[in-house]
Amino acid sequence: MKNNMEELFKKRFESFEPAPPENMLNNILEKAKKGNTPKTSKKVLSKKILYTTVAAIAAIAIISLVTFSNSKKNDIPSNNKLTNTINTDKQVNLKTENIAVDTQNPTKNNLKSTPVKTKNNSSKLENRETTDDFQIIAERTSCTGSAFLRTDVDVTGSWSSNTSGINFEYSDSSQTTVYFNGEGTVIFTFELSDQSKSDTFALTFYKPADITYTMTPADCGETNGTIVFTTKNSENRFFDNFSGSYDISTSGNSVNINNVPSGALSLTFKDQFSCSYSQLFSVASNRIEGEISYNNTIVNKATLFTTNITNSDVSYQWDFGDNGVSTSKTPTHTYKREGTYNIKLIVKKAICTDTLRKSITITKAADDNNNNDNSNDDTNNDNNTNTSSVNKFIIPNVITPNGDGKNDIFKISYPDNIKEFHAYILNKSGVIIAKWDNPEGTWDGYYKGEIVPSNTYYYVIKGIYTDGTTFEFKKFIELYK
Amino acid sequence: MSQENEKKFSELYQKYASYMYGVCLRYTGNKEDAEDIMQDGFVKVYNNIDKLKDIINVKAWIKRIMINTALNLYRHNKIIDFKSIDEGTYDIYKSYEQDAIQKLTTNELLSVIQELPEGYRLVFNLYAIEGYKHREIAEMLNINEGTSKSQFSKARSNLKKLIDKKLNIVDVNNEK
Repeated sequence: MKNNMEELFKKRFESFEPAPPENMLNNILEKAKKGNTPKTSKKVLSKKILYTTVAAIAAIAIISLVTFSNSKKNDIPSNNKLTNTINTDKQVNLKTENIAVDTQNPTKNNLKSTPVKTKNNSSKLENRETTDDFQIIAERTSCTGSAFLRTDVDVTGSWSSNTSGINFEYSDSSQTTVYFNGEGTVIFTFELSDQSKSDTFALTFYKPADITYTMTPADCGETNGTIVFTTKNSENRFFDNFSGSYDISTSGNSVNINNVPSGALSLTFKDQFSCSYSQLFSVASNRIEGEISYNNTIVNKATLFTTNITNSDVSYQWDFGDNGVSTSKTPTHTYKREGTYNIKLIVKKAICTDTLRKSITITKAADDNNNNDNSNDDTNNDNNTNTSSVNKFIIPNVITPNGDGKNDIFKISYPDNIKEFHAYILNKSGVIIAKWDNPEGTWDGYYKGEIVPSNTYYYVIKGIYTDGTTFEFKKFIELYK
Repeated sequence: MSQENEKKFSELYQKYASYMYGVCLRYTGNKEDAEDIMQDGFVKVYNNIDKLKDIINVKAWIKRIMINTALNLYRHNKIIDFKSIDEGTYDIYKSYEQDAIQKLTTNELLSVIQELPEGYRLVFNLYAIEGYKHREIAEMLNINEGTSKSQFSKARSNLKKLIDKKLNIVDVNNEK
């Protein structure tokens, strides 16, 4: 059973019909017919520019696609490390334009972008006498792993390859996308149905850069983290370019990034094939590890609270769960009633903050066996908790978040017969500056990490009682520091 | 391709292009990728227009082609990290979600989806919107069923945070 969120999204997107780009249909038809056209008009380049680009990229020799026209399978040179063209007595088609390089905008060179494509062999096609005299044309469709193969004329036949693990999208169509999850040069063959002719094509696949990393998180609020990337690939073909301004040094197959700040960061790097990879790294936990301890669970006796936090310069904000608060590192607190309380401790150091929680069950003293009165008539008592029953809401109308332990937070008392609860704090312009959905929730006077100015604010508290009736309270609340 | 088929294709395109563009946008982080996928997807539709006579639900058929095209791209680019960011999940009050989601326009919801990390986005789309089972998603993406489930729940809590951000709501309690 899926819940509301999914249903709402589903409903919305069922009728979501944004206008597609205007030239889309033309592009599709053009591409479908020719199998091979520039994607958008912006990318239509003059032939001259294209050939220049082709030549330039050929020099880089990222991939090499070599076609052997109408040769037999065993004529293929066994060259499995194709880094540049291999010429045969037949024509060689260097199709380096198929690499995903956006010549007009090299920085927007995206792993997922469709290659800019040009036509090949159009002149040869015109001289062709019969349609039997076909040849294979191939294009990269992604940096790694897949390619688009087609014959230059529409013929009937089927594809095969000399390597296992190749997937053809349409093995019996003259146009197909091929997928290969491996690395190396693969020979593709297209043979006519009547087996009268075949053509082969060698295509080199590379695996995506296989990268691992180890990191040493920065200390909370510091910039002393490091990340070391290493590749398992035999060739060092990554880390061409990191984005971001970090202290980066490269050695062999690894790259070190130093002085990394705590927090999450996104790094993009490119391999030498101009394929880019992005990754979000959580470099440091902005966390202050620790645990709460206490030394007493008897009612009306002082309890000492401690933590095992060793960091210095940490500020402490205790909430003992019964409206009692403290900013001491090791406070004492006395519970006036039995019950289970949720202790919350917010620790802060520089930009790092964390919330530690623990519950404490306060019981009567062993010899105090006649006082089992948990009656709910005492609505004047501030120490109401979720285990003692009160039959009405008590909502403060003033808070003074100055750390003196009195009225530092906005916290309500509430009856136990509610099944749904929402609280909102709004400022005078009506912006919600805090909200919570649990009656145990509190507001400490902070908005976006800073304490709000002394002023009048507004609360809305609403929800549903277990009997199905609703409640709603709206009122002003004064905040003084 | 015959004139007749081409006409048929154009009609199909006119009828479904907007919806399919919406689908493509959901599966990608940006417009450029969405356009690429849409273009490649419709080329496949064009190439398979002969199969149309056997198709009962044309819209679903085209949508499936779009989704496959999108997944293929990501599958073969291998850039999805399905287990990277570990963020705590937390309970979400249903009525709150309902309120929040209804306050946002579909375009805002789309941008929220697009902000999700790749893996989360795919799984969220497939499970929540397309209604695939986790078992099916696991097969499609070549991951474990458990991974699909955990990705989904993380996607969900991520989404909630992003929606909160959109609505300018801060969680003062710093709940984890």
